[in-house]
Amino acid sequence: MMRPSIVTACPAETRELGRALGQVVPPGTLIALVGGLGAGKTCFAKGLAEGLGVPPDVPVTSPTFTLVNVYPGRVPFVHADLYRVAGENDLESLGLFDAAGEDAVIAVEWADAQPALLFEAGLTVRFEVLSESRRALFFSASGQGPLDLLKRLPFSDSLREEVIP
Amino acid sequence: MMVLGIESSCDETAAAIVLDGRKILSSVVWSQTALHRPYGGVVPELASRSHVEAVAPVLREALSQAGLAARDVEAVAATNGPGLVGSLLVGFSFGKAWAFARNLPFVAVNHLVGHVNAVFLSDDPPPLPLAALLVSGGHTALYRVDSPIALTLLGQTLDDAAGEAFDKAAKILGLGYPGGIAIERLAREGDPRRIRFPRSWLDRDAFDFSFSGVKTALLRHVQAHPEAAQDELPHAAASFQEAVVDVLAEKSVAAARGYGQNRLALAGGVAANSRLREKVTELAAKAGVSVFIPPVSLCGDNAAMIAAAGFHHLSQGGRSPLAADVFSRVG
Repeated sequence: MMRPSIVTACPAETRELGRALGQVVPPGTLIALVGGLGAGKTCFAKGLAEGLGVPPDVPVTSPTFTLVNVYPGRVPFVHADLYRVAGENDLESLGLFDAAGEDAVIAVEWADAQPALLFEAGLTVRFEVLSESRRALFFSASGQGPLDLLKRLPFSDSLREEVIP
Repeated sequence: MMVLGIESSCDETAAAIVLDGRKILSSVVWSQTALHRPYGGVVPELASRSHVEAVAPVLREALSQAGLAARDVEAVAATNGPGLVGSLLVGFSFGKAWAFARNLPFVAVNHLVGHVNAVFLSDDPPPLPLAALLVSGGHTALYRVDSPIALTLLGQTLDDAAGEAFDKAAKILGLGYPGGIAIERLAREGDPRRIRFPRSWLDRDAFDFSFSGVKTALLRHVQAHPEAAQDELPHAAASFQEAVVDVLAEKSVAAARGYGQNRLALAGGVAANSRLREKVTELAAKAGVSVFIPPVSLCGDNAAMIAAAGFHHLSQGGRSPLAADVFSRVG
């Protein structure tokens, strides 16, 4: 199995990757963002919002407390966070899917808190902390559409292919 | 005017009766914290269900504590956002229905405007305009306040809210959920100058905040010093708290000087933090700024603040239609 990854040197680069993905990701895609505290998930989501056409004067802030934030854009953007969510939840009860309709792109931080959600995600981005400012982002896709998308990403040439043992 | 306020935006179901936006006749808050504690977080389905179960008894209790009957209520105000949509809907729909059934005026109240109104729930409310710092689990913002319901945003957090940073810091230090109070308690035994965590000033003259960096710095510190963990915990908590409080206090006092005619109000759950109160009071005294801080009971989520803000809307002719909806996010 191949696991394409890319290393970013600073938060601005992490954000830029999110923006590049946001420009091409099709409406209706569910993106799981997985990684520890301070690994760059919210930073990446800010970029996604920018790429999806969320107006620049709308600050994209952490959804940890509100659980689900909805932003208007060229494509509606649902930014969710399961950090505070506990217990095994019915995915419907999380309110991710009725927040902005079927066309929305949904990015879920701490998606691994609900394994059923990881299973549903078209794209999964895992964040690993390499040093104070460097991060490794691992991309994986599920389904033909998302797999093709990964190949078409503007940074797909820089994705280092790694074999998972 | 006797206003019934209803609040259900997050983990508290609350109802209150307030006279003329100033005098609290009753304020009942039912917290779900104990319900969620065994899970170490919030269970959304449990949260909505708990609001549904609590809202009618909490309202009855508010009437009973005020010594009033339902017919004594003259208007209804309920929170419509920001917050958890599934939770907001319970209190907001209940409020609309209750007002409709009794043919009373109804008005939607923004939760953040509500928080700022805690400072006006007094026989001697502060003069206007003033600057207000709103700090809670979900929000961190500075406003210029021209009337209890006319707020102009001066700046806000660009990533994590201050209360969220406290909660995550508590998790990093292994202090459990909810974490804000745990950090404050542990910090009392620590030296706030022991570890120099970064202060994120952003543009020094602007009023935006960022607390994501200091959270990451704390995590890296703990990872780098695992052996010292237990003895160092109070110092880490105190130093972290100081880094957050320093920025909040300094920017707030600057906002009061620039936009609040040297008056500053604190509001929101984190305004209950004693170190923040101390630091703000200390800086404000040096700068000749007067500080107004509501009692701790009115800092956290409550419905008295919603009734107060509702009164000010209603007295300016504000009404919300029955078709009004709730919203999750600011702006």
